[in-house]
Amino acid sequence: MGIDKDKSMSSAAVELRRQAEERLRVKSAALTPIRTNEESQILLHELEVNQIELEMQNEELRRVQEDLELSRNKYAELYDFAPVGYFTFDLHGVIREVNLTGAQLLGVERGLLTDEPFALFIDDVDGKNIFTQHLATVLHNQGIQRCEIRLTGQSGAVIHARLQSVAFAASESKDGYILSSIVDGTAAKQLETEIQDAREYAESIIETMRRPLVVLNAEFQVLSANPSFYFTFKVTPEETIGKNLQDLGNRQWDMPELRHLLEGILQDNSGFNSYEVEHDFPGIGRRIILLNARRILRKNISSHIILLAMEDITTRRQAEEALLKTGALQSAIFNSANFSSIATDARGVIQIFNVGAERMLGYSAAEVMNRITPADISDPQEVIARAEALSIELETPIKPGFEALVFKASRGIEDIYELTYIRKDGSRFPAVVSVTALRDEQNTIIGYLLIGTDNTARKQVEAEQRQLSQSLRDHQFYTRSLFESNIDAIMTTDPSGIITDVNKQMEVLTGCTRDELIGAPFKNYFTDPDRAVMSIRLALSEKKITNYELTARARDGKETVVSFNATTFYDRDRKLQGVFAAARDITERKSLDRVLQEKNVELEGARAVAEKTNLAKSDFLSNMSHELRTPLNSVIGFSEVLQDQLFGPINSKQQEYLQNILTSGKHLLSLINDILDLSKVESGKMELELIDFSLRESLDASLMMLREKALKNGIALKMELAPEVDVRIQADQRKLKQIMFNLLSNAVKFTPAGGTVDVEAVRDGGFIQITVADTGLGIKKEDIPKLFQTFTQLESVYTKEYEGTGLGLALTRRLVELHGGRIWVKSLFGMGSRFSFTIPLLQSASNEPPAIRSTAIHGKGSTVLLIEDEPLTLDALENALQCSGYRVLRADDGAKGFEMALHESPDLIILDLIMPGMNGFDIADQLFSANPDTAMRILVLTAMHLSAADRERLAGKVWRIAEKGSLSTHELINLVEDAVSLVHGS
Amino acid sequence: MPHRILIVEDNENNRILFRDILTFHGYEIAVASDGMEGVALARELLPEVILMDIQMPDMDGMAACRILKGDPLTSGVKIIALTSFAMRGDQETFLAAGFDGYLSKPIDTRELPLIVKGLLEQEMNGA
Repeated sequence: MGIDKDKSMSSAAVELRRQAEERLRVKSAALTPIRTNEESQILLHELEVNQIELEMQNEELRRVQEDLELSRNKYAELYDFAPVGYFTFDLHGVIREVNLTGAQLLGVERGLLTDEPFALFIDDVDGKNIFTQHLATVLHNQGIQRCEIRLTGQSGAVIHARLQSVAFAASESKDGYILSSIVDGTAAKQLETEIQDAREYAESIIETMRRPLVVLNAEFQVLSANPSFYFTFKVTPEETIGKNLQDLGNRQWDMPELRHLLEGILQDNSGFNSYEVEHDFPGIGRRIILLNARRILRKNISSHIILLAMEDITTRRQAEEALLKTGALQSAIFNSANFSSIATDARGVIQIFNVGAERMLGYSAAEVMNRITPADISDPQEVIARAEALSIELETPIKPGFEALVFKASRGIEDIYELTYIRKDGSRFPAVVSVTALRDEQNTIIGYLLIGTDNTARKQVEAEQRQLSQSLRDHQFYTRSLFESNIDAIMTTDPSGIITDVNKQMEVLTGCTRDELIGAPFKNYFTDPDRAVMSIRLALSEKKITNYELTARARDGKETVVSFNATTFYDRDRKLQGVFAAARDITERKSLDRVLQEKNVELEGARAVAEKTNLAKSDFLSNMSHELRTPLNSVIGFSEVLQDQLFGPINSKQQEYLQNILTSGKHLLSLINDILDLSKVESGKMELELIDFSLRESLDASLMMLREKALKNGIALKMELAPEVDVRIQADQRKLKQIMFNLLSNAVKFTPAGGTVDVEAVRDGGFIQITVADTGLGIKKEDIPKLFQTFTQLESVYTKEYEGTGLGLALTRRLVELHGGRIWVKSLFGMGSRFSFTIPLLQSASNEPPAIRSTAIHGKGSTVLLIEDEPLTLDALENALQCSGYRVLRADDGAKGFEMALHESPDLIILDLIMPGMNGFDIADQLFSANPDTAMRILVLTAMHLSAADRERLAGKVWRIAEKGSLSTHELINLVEDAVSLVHGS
Repeated sequence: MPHRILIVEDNENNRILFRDILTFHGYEIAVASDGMEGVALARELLPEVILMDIQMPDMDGMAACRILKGDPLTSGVKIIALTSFAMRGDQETFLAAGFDGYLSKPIDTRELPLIVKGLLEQEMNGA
């Protein structure tokens, strides 16, 4: 290129010269031969002028040439020292020309590069291909083409070369060639790699950060978040990435203040620290989160990004609060005037002496601090004694003095001991001292804390008690003779069953001496120690036991069956001392019992056989019923076909007979069905098909079945359902319908025209009580017990008129009991009957076999009134009683209970004593004056420890007093049963 | 053409009873006295409805029903169980065996034709 320009420049100079010469020649040609001097003079002058002009032109030319040279040099400099390597290639990539930078790039002297193929500096095949490809692209396309190639310079250095090339087509004078500029992109490449690495590094830091972190863009959309974020806030990446912060997971981050802060970051601040957010986060609950944010600037504000780092400090905060509380507690304890708190340094010199210590010991803190040790205010004799005792106990010499007070604590042993402190005025008081070693972080002891309480009062009480016990023992001495002269073996035990006293007979029974027996556990002398322990427990809980049998085993192995009577006994303060027990040898009676028992076993065997037979009977009945039903099916079926006259008419006599066959057949069928059902119940094969259904709908359906018949007989059939039983219940609906059908059809059957049959249902605790009342014949009192038994139809006189299988009520009873309910009847002969039954609203998960359940019923419908203000006790009692077949009335306060006791005339009243308002004593008093008969049905059940005065007040007004918690459910039920049978018996 | 009904019942009297009632109502009746015979007849005659006693000697109604419902030839036939020990839970057992319904013995002679009629209508509507 430079050469070209050079040539054009020199041709311009030649032209200039040629023009000047032309002008000169024209001028000289126009000259005629010199005629005059004047003419010569003019000519000369002209010549001179021309000469000057020419010189001026020459001068100009030279200057142009200089300029040219300068720019040529400048250009060459530019070319050679440009920061870009310039290469001229031929069409095959052979180097034609190269500038200095280009040569330096390759690390080869410029002169050596000419005519070398460029590919020489490309190491790998791929690169060579790229270069070849690049050349081809350059040749076939206009304009600049680019590529990147890895070059290997002479020194072996790798250069990431970026080529920009353009092709020049061949002309007349020249072959086609390619000009390429090459830049060393190594540094850029390196930078790029570094940036990439840095980015990956940053991402991995974000990923692995244990605290949640999100990256937001300027619109607060989440660009990325780390696993900790997902874990902490229980969100998935899908729910997070690209979402606006405010919209994340149920808008849990929608906090105006946070948004404000973030906006602030974008505008002027570079970030914020420790912004605390307490927020109820859906899914993870209330959390305290600490937020730090940093802005990362980009070219413009809209592409700024924000790093939002979070820290869940909920637990830390809780710990801090707990700590704060503990601290408060500690200072409260320390400032308490009821404890003496003395802290010492490691040598024992008092450093802290709190108000309690000042108060107890009479010293002011200033008087003792940095002056004395706690040993100086303790009884010196005790300190010496303690030092000696500890030396022996720990087998190491311990000096009397402060060391004796804290030695155990210094070894990390918890130490609480009694000590006598000496006040400033010289008086003494017993203290209980707790010692703790204070340690620094390296676990080195830096001091001790002695916390003491004044033990004077307790000591006094103990001394008094000792004295009382002594006098009691004195008293017992007088009873000794009574004790010894008894023919029964007698002993006393303390409440834990350790023998405290025995008489001679007891020594005989056990073969041990009195000294051996006293202090030994009572149970050791019996064949069944557990049962022996139980007797003591029972005596303690029941206050007395009678005829409790145990077999004593003497030292020589001789066994004696004894019957114990035992009672608890008390000291003068009515404080329980233990159990007084008397044992009588009943070996002889026992052998009689054994004979009796053997007889019982025989009887039991016989009963089992009978039961088995009964079961066989049930099976037989069940099978027979199937067999019987098949032919009956034909009898009834054919009769119906004939009656329907499907195959021709029959006369009226035949019709009448046919009706008889049908009626008898159907009766027989219902008989068989009832037998079948009964046998199923009795053999335990009948199971409840529990479903959830509306009681009202079910009862309606039952009534519907009898409606037509009632109408025909002129009987009004009504139902009255209390609102609280218009509910859904869980029972066997089919069986409930069967129960209702049996009761209703009986009622309709035995009620004359114009009468009524009423169905009522009320709620009774966890039960529904349903009553079918009629105005029919009624039942004689003596017949009632037979009513629910199988094959009983009362009096043959009914039988003709009122046909039935005699199984209906027996089956009904079984079905009710199968549900866990019970059935009873109240009837006045000639006035009508009320059949009532209960079924539970809900069935318990386990269905006991009906045979067992029916015998387990104790209550037989007796009513128990519970007066108790504590709902849990009320529920428990109610449940226990209902399970045993009692009807339970509840009163949760005294006044209500009193009213119910008066008006409901319950068979038994269970009465709590302590209640707000009208208490149990008041009720007993008032009930006694209103109706002594009712009051005597009260069983007081109380958790209160009754004083003699309390018992006095209740005496004669209530039936019994029992302690709450001392009775098992079973025992309670037995007690209730006793009470009820007593009431009924009287 | 009258609808065809197959009665499978081991008790002869019941068989005659059901046959006569349904014949009276215009159905074409075939009878079989046990499950084996019932299955054979069902395959031969392809009735629309089968009344199937459950308790039968040799092959009982359950087994016969399973065979018929398992055979593509007869699987479309409506089969009604006739049973004398209808208890709760039996219904599920019958439906599980493939029966289309069940009637509890003693069969109500007035109800029987109605039920058969209903079943046929249901089938015609369904098909």
